[in-house]
Amino acid sequence: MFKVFIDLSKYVFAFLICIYTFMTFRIFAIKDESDRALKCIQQNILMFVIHFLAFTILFISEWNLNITILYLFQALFLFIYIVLFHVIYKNGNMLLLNNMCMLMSIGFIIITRLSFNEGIRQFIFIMTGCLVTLVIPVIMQKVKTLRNIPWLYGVVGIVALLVVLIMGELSNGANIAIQIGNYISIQPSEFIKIVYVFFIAAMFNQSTSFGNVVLTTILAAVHVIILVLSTDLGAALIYFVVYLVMLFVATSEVLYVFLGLTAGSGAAVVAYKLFSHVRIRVQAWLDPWTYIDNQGYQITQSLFAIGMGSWFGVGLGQGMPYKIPYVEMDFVFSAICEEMGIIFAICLILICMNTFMLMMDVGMKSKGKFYRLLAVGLATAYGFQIFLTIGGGIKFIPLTGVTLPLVSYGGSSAFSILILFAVIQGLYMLRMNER
Amino acid sequence: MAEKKKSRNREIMAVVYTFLILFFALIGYLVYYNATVKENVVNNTYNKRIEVMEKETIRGSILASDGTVLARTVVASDGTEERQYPFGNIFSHVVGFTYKGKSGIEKAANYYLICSNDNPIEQVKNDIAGDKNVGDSVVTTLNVNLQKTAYSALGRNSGAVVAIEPSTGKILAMVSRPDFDPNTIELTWDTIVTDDEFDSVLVNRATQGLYAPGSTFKVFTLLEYIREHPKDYENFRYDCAGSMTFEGVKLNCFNGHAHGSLNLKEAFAQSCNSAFATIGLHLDKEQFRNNNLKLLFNEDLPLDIEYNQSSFVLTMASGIEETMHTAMGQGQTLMTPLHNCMMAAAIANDGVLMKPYLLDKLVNNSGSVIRKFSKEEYKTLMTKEEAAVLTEYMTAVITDGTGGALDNASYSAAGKTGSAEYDSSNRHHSWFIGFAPAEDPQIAICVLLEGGYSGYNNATEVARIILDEFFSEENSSSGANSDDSGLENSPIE
Repeated sequence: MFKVFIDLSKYVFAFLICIYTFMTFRIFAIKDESDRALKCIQQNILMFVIHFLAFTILFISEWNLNITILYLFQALFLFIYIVLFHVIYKNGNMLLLNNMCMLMSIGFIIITRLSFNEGIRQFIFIMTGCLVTLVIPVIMQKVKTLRNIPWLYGVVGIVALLVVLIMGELSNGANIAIQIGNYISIQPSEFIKIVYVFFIAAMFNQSTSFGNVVLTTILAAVHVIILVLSTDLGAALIYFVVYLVMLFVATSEVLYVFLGLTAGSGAAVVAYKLFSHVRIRVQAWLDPWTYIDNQGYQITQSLFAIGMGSWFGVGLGQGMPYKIPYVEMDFVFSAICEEMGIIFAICLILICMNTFMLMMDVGMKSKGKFYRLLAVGLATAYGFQIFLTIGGGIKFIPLTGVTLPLVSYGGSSAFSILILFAVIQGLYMLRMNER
Repeated sequence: MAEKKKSRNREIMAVVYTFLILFFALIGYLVYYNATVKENVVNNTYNKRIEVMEKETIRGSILASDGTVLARTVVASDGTEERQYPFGNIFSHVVGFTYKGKSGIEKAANYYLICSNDNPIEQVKNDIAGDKNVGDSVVTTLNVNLQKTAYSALGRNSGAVVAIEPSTGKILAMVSRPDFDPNTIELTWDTIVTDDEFDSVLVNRATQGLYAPGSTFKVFTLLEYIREHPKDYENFRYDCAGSMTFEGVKLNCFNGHAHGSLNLKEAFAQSCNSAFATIGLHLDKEQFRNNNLKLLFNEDLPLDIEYNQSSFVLTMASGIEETMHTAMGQGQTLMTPLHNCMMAAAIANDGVLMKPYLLDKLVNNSGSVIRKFSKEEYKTLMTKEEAAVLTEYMTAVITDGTGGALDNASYSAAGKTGSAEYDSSNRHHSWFIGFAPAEDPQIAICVLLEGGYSGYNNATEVARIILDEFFSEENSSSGANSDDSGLENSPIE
């Protein structure tokens, strides 16, 4: 009987997320404020229904009362957060908020399914992050000197990344996180990503003269090189693409893009020749089947998961996503494909895409070069990270080991993305206030 | 002002569109993966999910082309499941087994057999009752009568038979002997895998056995010669004294028989070693090698069940002896019967090789067709003209040469015989590859008898028995097949 319920729920999930996704794009186009508000509330209801249904299945399949308690806390939190946001920020971008909450709740579902303890921890990360970042839009609106301190951003970024690199070298191995005490491990590249965008935006805001472009390029390249040396390839790629996009938007020079891409390709070839960890990733991508026991193991298990899931998934709790090493971080998308299906996963991509477009839209409508560049840079960091993690998981591109924003497990990842969303909300409100 | 703002946003729009392309590429790839490639991917021993599915589903049946059951799972009243193979040893290699790993169609079609596309109401009923769903069944291309005939024609000899329908690539029969009984494999497993006396019975000799091709390889040498002398190959003449010597290397014709004065067709029909060794010495070795690689040597074959690659070793650096021996089918060249049969099938199909296949369609538990696998062109191995010349020459093998065992049949066959020495003893493997009827081929066949065979003079006699059965069956059921005939134009004379 329970199996029938799970089988049916797969179709219900797919149906509900399709409606949500459709509404997301629909609301994007609606001009009338009250109409938008109403649709946004309907979206919230959809989110709560999906969340409830999923946790009902998780509860029945594991028969663990703690899951119910966790659910109640999560639902309560989401409700309070949404209300709080509406109350504090009447000018906020509600669609962006909805997408953010939707992605968080999908993350809650899949991580709790993978590991109850990680589900609790993820919930605490997100809850703390959401509440702390509520102040960011205020700071964005009040503090006007943010654009005047490019050097501070640059120095902080480079020093922090260097510290990670050196500590990693000292601890004799590839380590991209700093361990504080026994429980807290911070991955600075996630946070520095935002500082880095501030740095570039502030630099180009001052001037886009040739000299300043060269200077900025050198400093950006230092960031990227340190990341490559500390084997954080995913972050290195994101930093590189963010810089290229911001340079292009700031200068309108297509030539720069070509130069940048050429230099990037050259650097990639050099990195391939120089570093074995780069070669391993490429090998595992080109022919994972030959190396199925070692470097190809992760990606082949991911492909099995996606293939077994097919369009509607095998049902929550019914698959074996835990066969993929680090599934809760780098391969959470594959776990979603396996248990909730590819249709659900495609909707997830579309929601992420819509979120990216919302961010870019904020950039287009912002006044002043600094704010525009800030929004564009952050949107690029967000969008490209999604492309890297999903593309890597489905073997469209080589694996880079980055997380799916707000869905994957991980405190640093979740926290930094919440800051990113809050900055974008701040930029949106700045514009709304000017109207 | 408005215009300026618009132009400033042009760059951002360009970025947005670039990213939209990336996102849609992800979605497109995901859909492509799930719709086309994933079935081959997930059917892997590293995929532990498959094991769970196997436990949760009653394995579907494997059926012959006419619906005869070749393998089925029977559930006893106490719920225990047993896999039964009604034909026992006859289909052992091609259908395969599911004990300690899997083989044959049991392995290749594993994913289909454990996926249930039964009607949803039935599945819901099973789910509520806590019963297992029944996996889909696969209908194969195998012809029961032909398989039985080939099996008994081989008799106690070690060897293999492969039969393919040239116009589609359907594998009609695939026999390998010695064989085993998949019904009792659990009991006999330990002796089968350890005892030398059993002579590696688990090996599917039709697809995995590697043998020196002997004179059947002269088809390849002949094709190369025609390609290098497109205008004047008919002017070839050779005077055979029963042996030849070149720079101190001596080579004999079969049994030292002197063939006398021969043109190219006669040399081929009578399988004159001296003539072909001489041809070999004058071939462009680099081109010969490249052409043979294009004819699927040292290459993966398009087959879903286990097989080995044929190997062609001759290179530019090879010496005279090696070259002479390779040209007449000895040397270090090794072929599987399947590969040789595919070559015959391509010649029979105007040079176009159809992908050989075993799975024809999937049917669910209620008998509705879920999916039909269609024929697929794999590769053009030679031009239509070249195929026509080879057909003509191979017909002469039957009418005026070494393939006399197939002469005076009710159909006109084309083929090539071969006997391959494989050690210092007098014993040799006997080969036959060919197809029939020569003017409108319905079947391509390869027979291999391993050295030490008895009861026959050569493999051609075995092929005769199988082809006779095929065409008598065909005549008796000609009404059913009449819509197929006449669609294919006979090759231009």
